[in-house]
Amino acid sequence: MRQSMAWIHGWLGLLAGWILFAMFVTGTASYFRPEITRWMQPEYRPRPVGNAEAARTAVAWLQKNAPHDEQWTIYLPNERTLATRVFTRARPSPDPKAPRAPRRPETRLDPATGVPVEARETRGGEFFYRFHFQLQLPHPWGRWLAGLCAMFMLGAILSGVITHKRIFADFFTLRWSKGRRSWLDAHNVSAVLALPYHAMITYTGLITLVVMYTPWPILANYAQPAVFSASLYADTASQKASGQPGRLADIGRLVEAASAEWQGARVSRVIIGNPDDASSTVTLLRSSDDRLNARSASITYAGVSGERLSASPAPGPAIETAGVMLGLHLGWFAGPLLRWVCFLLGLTGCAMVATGLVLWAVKRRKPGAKPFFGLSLVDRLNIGAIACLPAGMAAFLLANRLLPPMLAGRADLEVSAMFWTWFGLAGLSLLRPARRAWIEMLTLSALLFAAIPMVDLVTIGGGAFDGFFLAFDGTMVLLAVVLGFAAWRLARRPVDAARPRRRVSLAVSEVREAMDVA
Amino acid sequence: MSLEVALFGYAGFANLARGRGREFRTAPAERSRARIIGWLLILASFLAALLRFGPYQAVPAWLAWLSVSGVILVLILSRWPRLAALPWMPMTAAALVLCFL
Repeated sequence: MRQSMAWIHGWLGLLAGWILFAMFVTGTASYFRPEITRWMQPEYRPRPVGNAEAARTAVAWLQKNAPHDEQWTIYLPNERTLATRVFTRARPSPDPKAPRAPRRPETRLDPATGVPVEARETRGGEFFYRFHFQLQLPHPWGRWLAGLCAMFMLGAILSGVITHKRIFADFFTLRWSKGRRSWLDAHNVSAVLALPYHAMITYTGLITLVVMYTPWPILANYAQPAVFSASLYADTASQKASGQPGRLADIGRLVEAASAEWQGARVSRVIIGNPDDASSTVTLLRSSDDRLNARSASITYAGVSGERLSASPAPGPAIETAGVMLGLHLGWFAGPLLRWVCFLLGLTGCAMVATGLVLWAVKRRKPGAKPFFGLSLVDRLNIGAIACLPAGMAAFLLANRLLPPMLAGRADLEVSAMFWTWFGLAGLSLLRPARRAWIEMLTLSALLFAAIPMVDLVTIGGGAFDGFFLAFDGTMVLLAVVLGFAAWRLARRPVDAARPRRRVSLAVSEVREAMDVA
Repeated sequence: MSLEVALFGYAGFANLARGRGREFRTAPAERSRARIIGWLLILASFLAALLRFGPYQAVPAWLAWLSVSGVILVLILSRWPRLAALPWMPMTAAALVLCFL
């Protein structure tokens, strides 16, 4: 039983490992999604205003620029996201065969003045967040692949727990400089100590997209899937326009009224249906920053008279569960300190995947023997994924500072910089012996991260002496130190150099592993 | 601040590690005492989380803090085994103060 589980664990982990590592790293970075965006638009420093004022300025801009659209969605700013984000959807054309009008791209507005943010164009933290579950692949494939890897991960967690003989005996055991033993210790410790986190993040990540992965229960029970979601979330978009023109009441007053009804909780989102019609509706959604449930309560008002029409019913157990799972995965409920804790746990997850991948290769390496093809392949992919991805992410941030701020298409160039650096370095590393490649790529990653604060200081100048930017740059230095430490440890002594007295147990475990593989 | 959850967690794990006696060469009688203290401190960290985060968020927040404190303890333990568990008493005291701050 244990051996078959060890076999499953090894192969599930290996096959999904490289993608899982990228998902863990970018997902961990996504805990700071708004902060990364903020860092990547350093010239944008708005004057903070109240929620009601931000809603007023956004509506004023929309009335000027998209007055006849079917629906406006306004994400109000908060302490972390400084800009108001608005989306609009055009009215469907009268032709019934025409496809439903798509949502127009996001516009970011200054909350105080209501004009579009003038700052360098960038994908910001949104890029890591999207990559985390779409893997930069065309639409359904990225999510399918991410889901498949998440399933592998879940299987690897279960089989790993079963195959681990000494969970409690080795709970605190981490021995350095003992070759393979150390890799196993590091893998065990990073997995076992943060096991609740790993299981939670994998399961909730998978469940978040479950409707996409298995649409069949809904298809079997509902003729139109849209009816299903409307019955769950009380969709206001279905409201019919009357055809009579109408003018919206003061939106700020509605925001204040809703906030008062929620005992002072913030309004996070405003959805306005048929904004130029006499039967317009204004739906306000409660912020879920202080709750586990990421799907929030809402109140709907009549747009013209400002009369309170309805409030979302208390969610049923299924919706509540889905909301809590999404909330746990996104970690929005976490305050600043707890968010850092989540970030550290995410890094522990990265360490678990990385040590597991390395362990697979280290276990199969025979001292003195030439590595077989599969082993070399795994080794090379490990270098490409673990040592080169951080360099790519650093290049993404560096490109943000080094590309001219007004360059056309710079947002896409930043993304290209990341992939060219990542895959380019992975390709270059093939030219070097494996051990040297590990050391050099990790050193390079460390240097690139260390370069970020310096480039920030040179390009932004005095602006970098702001608490937020100092904290961000300090974090980059810490990441550089961690990567540099890994490179230094590798350079200090050969990975496999075990002391003579360890020979016996090594031989024993080699026999066991040979059996595992067989 | 919710640092007290981590301080209790660290102190609790440090005692559990002491109770194992591997790195510490603790006497057998001392070991079982350390184990009991360790579990009590873990319980204290849960209660502190309950106090700080309320019934709904206590469990995830507690597990997160506890995991991180365990990882930090193991990292220190692997380098300076005798030093790692030493400060558990001042940590507990600090955690108690933070609890009622």
